[in-house]
Amino acid sequence: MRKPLKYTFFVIIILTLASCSKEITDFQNTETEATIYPDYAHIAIPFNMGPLNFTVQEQGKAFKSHFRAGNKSFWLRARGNRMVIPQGKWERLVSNNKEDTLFIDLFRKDEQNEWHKYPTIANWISRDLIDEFIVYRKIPPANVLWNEMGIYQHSLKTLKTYPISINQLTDHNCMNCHSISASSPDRFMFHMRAKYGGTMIKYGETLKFIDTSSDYIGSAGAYPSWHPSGKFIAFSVNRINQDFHSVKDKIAYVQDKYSDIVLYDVGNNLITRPQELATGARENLPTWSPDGKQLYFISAPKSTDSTNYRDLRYSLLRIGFDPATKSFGKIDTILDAGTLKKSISFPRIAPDNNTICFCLLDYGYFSIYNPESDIYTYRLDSKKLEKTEANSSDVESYPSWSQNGRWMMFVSKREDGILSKVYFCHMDEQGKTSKPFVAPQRDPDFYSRYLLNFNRPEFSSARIDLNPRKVWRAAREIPLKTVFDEANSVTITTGATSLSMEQPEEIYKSDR
Amino acid sequence: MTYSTQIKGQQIYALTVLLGFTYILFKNIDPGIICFIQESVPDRFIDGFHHIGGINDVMAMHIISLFNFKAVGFLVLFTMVGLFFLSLQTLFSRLRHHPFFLIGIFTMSLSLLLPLFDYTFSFTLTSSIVFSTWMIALGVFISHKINQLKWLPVSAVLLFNYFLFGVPGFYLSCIIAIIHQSNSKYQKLLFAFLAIAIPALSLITGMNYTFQQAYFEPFVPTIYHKVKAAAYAIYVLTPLVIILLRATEKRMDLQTLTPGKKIGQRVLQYGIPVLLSAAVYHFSFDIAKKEIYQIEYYAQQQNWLGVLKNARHFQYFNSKLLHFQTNRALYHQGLLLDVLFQYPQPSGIEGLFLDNATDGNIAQPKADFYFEMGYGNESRHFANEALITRGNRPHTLKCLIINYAAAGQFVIASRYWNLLNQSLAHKKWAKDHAGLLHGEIDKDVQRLQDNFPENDFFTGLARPENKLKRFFISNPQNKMAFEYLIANYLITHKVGNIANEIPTFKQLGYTRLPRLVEEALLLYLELTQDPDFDFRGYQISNEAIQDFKDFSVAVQKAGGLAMAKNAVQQYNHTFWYYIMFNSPLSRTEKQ
Repeated sequence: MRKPLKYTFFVIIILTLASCSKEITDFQNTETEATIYPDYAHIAIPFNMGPLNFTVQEQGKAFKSHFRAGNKSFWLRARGNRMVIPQGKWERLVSNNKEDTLFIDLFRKDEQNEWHKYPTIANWISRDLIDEFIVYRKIPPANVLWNEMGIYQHSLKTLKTYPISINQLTDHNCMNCHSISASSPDRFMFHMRAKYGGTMIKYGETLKFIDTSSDYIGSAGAYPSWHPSGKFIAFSVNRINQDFHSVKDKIAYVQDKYSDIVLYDVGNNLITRPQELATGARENLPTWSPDGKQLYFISAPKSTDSTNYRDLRYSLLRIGFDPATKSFGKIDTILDAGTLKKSISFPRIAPDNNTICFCLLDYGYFSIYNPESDIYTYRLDSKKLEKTEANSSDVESYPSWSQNGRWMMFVSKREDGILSKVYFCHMDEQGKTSKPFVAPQRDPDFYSRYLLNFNRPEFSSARIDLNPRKVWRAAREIPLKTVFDEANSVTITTGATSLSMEQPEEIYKSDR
Repeated sequence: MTYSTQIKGQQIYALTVLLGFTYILFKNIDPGIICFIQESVPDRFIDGFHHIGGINDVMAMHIISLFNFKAVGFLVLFTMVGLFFLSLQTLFSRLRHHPFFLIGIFTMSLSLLLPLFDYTFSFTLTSSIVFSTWMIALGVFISHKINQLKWLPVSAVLLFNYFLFGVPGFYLSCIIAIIHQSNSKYQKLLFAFLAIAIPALSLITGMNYTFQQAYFEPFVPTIYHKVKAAAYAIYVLTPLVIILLRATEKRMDLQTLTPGKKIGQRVLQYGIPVLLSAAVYHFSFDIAKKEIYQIEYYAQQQNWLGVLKNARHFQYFNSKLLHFQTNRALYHQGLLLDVLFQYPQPSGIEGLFLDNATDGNIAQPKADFYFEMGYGNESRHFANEALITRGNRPHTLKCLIINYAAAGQFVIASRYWNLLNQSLAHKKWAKDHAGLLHGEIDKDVQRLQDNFPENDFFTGLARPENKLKRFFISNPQNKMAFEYLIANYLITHKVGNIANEIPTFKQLGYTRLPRLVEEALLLYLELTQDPDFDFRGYQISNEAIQDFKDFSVAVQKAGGLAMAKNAVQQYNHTFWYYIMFNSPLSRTEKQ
């Protein structure tokens, strides 16, 4: 037994020595910066984020990099052109040098075995924490049919991805519109459609499966927003139509024939249709303020047959809410689409309760299909509207805030115009944003092969205790029908939202 | 002749019959159709480790892609099945005295070729069984070479087989392992235990499978996945034959038989493989099914004559997709507006456009249709739907690459190009079209770019006529759009609209009016009695005029609609016959 042990020990020593990279002292300087993919050059990074693995998009026989911050550093040899940074070394370097610069010296070996050094990459290590997980849906760039689909959570620290729900277990149904309350992993929900249709709500240790559809509210709940207390969820109810453009640079267009906002009481399984939010106008995309006292939403005028789609614009509104009585107050218009001559979508309120980020686009609200959609911020105190520097020439959509309000997350199709990816940027107290960077992955080549969209990314402070089998078990139960709170709701004969006898048209269809 | 020489002779004979059968199979089925239905660009091998049976899926896709090269595909298939034959023979060599031993193995091997008759039967079942058997033979071989822990190599192979080759091959290898280890009760128990324990590992290590999926995938039928009965048959056959051979081993020792019985057995030994092959071929080879798939395959290959030739056999086959493909072929042969009604049109406009159907099977044909028309957005849209629902089919990837290149979206085009370039069978296409990723223009890209509308409009689902009109207005030289618009008017009885388009025929350079347009005009003129109709220099042929007269007279003379239908049967290829008797519309529209 001793011999094998000795050999094993010897092999371990050799392997350890082989993995260490020697310092390069003899090199020539290059003036042009190296192209790396993803682009992690000159960005601000959170100290608690995992390694930003990348590939070097240059011709060379070998590549090495020297990571240094403060008085610590380590060398790394690329595997081919792939820089796969050891988790432990990265963590120690970055987390011990907050508010400092992370320098990356990149070296290339040419055919003559001479080393060349590229200009140093300087990244800022922010002391601002970023939420550990993001939750998103993976969907293909198709619009009508689907096959495989799932909701996943990705650790920004370990860069591992865990499925929350995958439709291979639920007869390839559709799952969508997930939402999480104040980044709390104990309050999470998402919808399922087609087979096992219903809404899955995780509330603490409980996982319940409900059916929000009702003759009173026109459709099942669609776009959700958890109240920060976790006691309520505001849903929009929508009649959604999709159509397709014919010109080269556009794909699809989604609009609502009608939409209202309803309130779901999680503890009592009650749905209320407040009259303030169920008018003839198209109320949509509810989002709560961090203190839970205001509900922000977008609203567009009532649909008519003569409305040109380019004229459909949503304003940003706000209404007060009393959680104790579940009553709503007066509606304020925060930003008027008519004045802006633009449409507002996906508003999210920062933890400071003063800054709102949203998409500004030429028309409509389904911003992912609008290449001109950009992210703006609006400060309630100064009434200052600003375009962030995080934008590109292609679509930016679905912005959201980290728990501390210092990191903004959004999706963008800036790379190829088709596939949406998750980006982060830092925002300081003055509202200045850093250069956005794409969510890191374990495999530096990940994005060059990935052909799906990251959809509706949400922050979560910790891992959500859900997995596909748990979801499957819950989904096999008959969903609990929600109770319509008639006493506190506007009746279906009043309010301008007309209820169609038709079933709402599905945006997506299963492949049958 | 010694006994071992006899066995060797039978082995060579069985392999020869198997080779011959495989050859006949490949000659009669069209391996291109298997590729058309099942081929998908394989994942990288490393990605195959992410799910149960992933490596099997990757390898199966590589093999299917070789079917594009008929001779190579044939050789690979024969090698697979031949090695399966030899693996079983090695594993159960103790049964070699059984007179039906080689026949049994031959039968098991033959069953693996059966799925090829059904083009849609997933090849991954076959490959799972074959690869797992090879691996278990290797495991047994290694266990014979070592003195201790003999159970270890086989146990490792079982674990390996489950995760790499999937459930079907795993269970078969467990059964083989149990039957093979007939001398050791403990090893039998161990392998039986592993048959239950190993799938449980997938439940413990990952949460991505249900209990049923971990143990029975792909035999778990769901609302979207029907398991073919043949899958159970093929799966059960191999272990059943082995068990039968084992059970009858002692009673069938060849060497104890009388000479007369030996002759009888020889006849059976040599005759059964041939008879069995012939029976399998006769009962499994469905030429009608082949020709149906051939229509779709030919359409994808743009072999329009082939489509029309096969379509003649299925004039009464009620498939919108087949009608759609036939009409495409008619257009490309320049016959759409002349002989449209010589082919049944029970699907109405669905047989022209398929726009109402939302099914992954028809997404790519629709993408191809719009691709040919030059309607880039629609082609891209449906190709994306096809990609998601039917996987990384090479044809779909090619369609997307060209479409995205035409739209100037080179980054995404490159992604699909990189994917396609992983497939050996399509590397040449990828190489030949690499220039498109850098802005080079070929005829397909040119056609798509020329036809992008300047002014936007919505396509609208289930309203093909509207979008076609708008598209044609944007592209007034687009002959395909025009002819389909006219065909649409014919199908929907809009003779007035047809009459309004006579000037367009002139603008597009038609030297004569197509026959069905003449027929529609004759009806239009009969209805409107318009004396000043401007034919723009065209003349309706005398033949059409005479046919119309004869048709009208015959219908008037017949007493009732049913009798009229019989009376004018010889005009069943005309527009008039269609609108009176065959049209799915319940009423004739007045213009």
